[in-house]
Amino acid sequence: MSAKVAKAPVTQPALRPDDSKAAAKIDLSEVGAVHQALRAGRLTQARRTTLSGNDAIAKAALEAGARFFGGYPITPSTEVLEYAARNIFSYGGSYLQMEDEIASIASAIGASLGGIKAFTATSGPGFSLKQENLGYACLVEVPLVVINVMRGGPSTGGPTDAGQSDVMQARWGTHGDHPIVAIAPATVQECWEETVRAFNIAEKYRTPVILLPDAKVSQMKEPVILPALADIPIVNRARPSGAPEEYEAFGPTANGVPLLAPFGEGYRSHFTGLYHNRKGLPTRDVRLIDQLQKRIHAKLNTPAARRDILKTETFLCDDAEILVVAYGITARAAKDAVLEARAVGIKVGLLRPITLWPSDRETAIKYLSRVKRVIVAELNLGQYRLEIERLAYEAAQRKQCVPTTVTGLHRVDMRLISPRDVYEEICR
Amino acid sequence: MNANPICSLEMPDLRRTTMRRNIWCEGCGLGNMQQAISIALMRQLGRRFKVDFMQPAGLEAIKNNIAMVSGIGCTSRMAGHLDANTVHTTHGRSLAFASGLKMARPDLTVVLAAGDGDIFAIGGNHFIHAARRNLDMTLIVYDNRSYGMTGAQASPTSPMGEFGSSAPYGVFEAPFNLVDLAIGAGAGFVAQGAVTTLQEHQDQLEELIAAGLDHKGFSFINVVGTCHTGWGARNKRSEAFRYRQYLQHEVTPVERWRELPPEERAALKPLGIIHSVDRPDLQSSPAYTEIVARGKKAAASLEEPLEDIRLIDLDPMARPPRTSLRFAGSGGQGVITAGEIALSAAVLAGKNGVFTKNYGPEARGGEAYSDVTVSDGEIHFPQSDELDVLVALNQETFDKFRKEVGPSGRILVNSSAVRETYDDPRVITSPIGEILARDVRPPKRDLGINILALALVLDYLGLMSRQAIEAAVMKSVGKKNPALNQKALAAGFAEAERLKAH
Repeated sequence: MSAKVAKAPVTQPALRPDDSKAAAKIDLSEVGAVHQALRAGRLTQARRTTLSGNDAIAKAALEAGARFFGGYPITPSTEVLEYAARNIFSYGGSYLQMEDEIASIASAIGASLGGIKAFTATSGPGFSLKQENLGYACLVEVPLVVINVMRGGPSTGGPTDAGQSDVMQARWGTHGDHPIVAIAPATVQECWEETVRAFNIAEKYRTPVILLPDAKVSQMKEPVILPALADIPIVNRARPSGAPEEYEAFGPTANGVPLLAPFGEGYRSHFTGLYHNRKGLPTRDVRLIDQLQKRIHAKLNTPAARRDILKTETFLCDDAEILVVAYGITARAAKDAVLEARAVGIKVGLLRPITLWPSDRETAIKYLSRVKRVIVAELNLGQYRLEIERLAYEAAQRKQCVPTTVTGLHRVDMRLISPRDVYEEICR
Repeated sequence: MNANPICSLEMPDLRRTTMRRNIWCEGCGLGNMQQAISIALMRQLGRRFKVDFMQPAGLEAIKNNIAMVSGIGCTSRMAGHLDANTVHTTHGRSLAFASGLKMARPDLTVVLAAGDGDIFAIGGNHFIHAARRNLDMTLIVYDNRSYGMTGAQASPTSPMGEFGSSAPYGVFEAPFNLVDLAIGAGAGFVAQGAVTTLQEHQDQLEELIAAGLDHKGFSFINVVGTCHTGWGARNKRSEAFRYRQYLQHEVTPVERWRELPPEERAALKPLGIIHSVDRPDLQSSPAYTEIVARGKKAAASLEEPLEDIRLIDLDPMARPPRTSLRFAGSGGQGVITAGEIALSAAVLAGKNGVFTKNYGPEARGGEAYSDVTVSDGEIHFPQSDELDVLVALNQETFDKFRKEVGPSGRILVNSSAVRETYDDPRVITSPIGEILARDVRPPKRDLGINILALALVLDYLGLMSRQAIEAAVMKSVGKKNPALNQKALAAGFAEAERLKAH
């Protein structure tokens, strides 16, 4: 019997190939990428529409090539599920409303291993339930985007009000020393841009990426400018092309990111949450375990990876004596406050991490070592402040001086931090 | 071709040559189950794809098509030993992983190997929902009535009175009736096999798995099995052969079992195909394909038209003036929609805007409101310390939000519903409810009141052109009831005219 006859059917949704032309037009590592491309004339035509943050996220996911959504309803992220349910069929994809939060991330991981881009969405309590499988995706190196719309906590808290209480859960929610990428958009435009970027990072680096909008950003509506579908820079996972018997699903590559073959094409492999060797098979070899654990961190820490992953907006930071650090909705309050303070001659700047994890260490240290005072404003009791304090200490060590004072402006009463709150803290 | 080749020395198998060593104890029934799965897969897929599994190319095609998903436990290690696309997932979650995989790749043959603790305890929710959802996949559970890997703890299938390390004085909870559970949850194929000392049971198991693979939809095969080193050691069955013999007394062919009186049935486990109904699996069901087609049609034009866009450089230091509006009323008056339309009108008028809806416990009890901030430049924080404009359609929201309006702000009050305005100098009164009843005459009370109030306030304050307001209204609610909304718009504009002249 010839090998030609012996072929089982393979049906896979078509993926739009990587497009270097689109990447040349829009550089998603820039803050305000689409606007920048339009201003620079790299882009002359685009789409205008008005969206809510959640709709922008779901739309971006589908436009970035996501073809499976596993969901479960939870306020304030439910609109992502609803948008996917409404629209994913027309992109040739499918969705399932799963039986629980655990199943929804599990189904997305399963779909991604099948070879397509997949995502899930949730909020605080649901994010807690997803943590075990998030760790699975980290160790098994599954491209995946998890949307976690932040509300208050702990427990049910205030389901409908904005919080930023999952910053540390995003970093350390699952057990073990795992690497993670978490991104906090501050505008609806950014919800779209950062979702596309999240998928690109997930695919390029074979890693789960968490999008961390707060409920206010995900629920607000704003006008946005979106590029044509053909102009969206899209990255797809690298696939093997060599002999199947030589394929190693966790093998070495130049950038530390192993190739991921979709199922069914002969590159049969094993995927396990146990420590595994290059072939994916369980191992108890201490050398291999050490290599694996360190590689999954190292692959996100190469110069190229840091360029793709880290993103920080610095606003009036260069001559600043006071630095406000804020992200998401709180950064928008901080920006108004900085402008108000500048108007009366106070030298203050805003450092807005867009990628929260891994933290943009070098950018933060650069400014932390210059200023006299740092204010971290966030809708929790000081989660990201811990990271800024750590970086302030590191900045001081490098300069052999005393660390800059880091103070916090925190709120956990379901109300937002207002521009006035930040202004008063600046003036204190 | 594909005759029964079990005795052949050339018999190929699906074992992964790079992972020969397994963790299973000598004499464990998992080896029997693995063999049955392997042979059933080769036979059925060979037949389905018209390939010969005795030929390397045929076997290769079969292996490429299989996706085995498993959870945690002794049984779940089976995935690693199968030369296929294999996923060893987290405890209890294999069915959820497999559901996503099957949705993404309907072309793959999805098979699950799992233990009873994995599927019926921690994964119980996924089991009943997988049965209900009816994706085309085959679940084979090795039911050794215990958690083997962790050392003989009781599971949801442990018989009452037997002993486990977590039941030192005996199991005191009743076990699941797996057959009833699966059927009740909607499984279209339920079968039970056993690993004993008898070849007929081994042959039967292979047939049952083959039939499960052939079944289109969710198929569940429970395998009554042993754990002589764990559960057996605590229940006087620590010898593998004896344990297997013991199981022979617990099982009976399903045909015989059906004829037994209920009390005798309870003590015995039926072997064979217990339940099989022909119904299309989720992905090939007419209902699903119809809904997919409907979804495709509904969302036909998702890509907005391209426009030439030129952006001017903005002064980052600029703090352009902004106007903040709040639409407030009782739930059902459409104040959320009013805010959304106001944002849309602002955008159509070339302005920037942000819409936020504030729903919370306080907004659910009959009150609702939405905020819109409009500006010619960038808007950073979407809320203002003070409102510039409040539209209050009822007394409650007037009383509640009046304090949030700035000293030079304006409050448009629906005087048809707001009786007391406390001589507030910022108030502009208009009998919006009466105008609506008189000029728009809605079929339902308050239908269109949001449009009337919106047109009135935006036009009266000159915040944006009538064209922009009208275009935004028609874009949003125009399709549903064009005549009524046109009337509401006209009435709003006319009232704005009257107030301006006043």
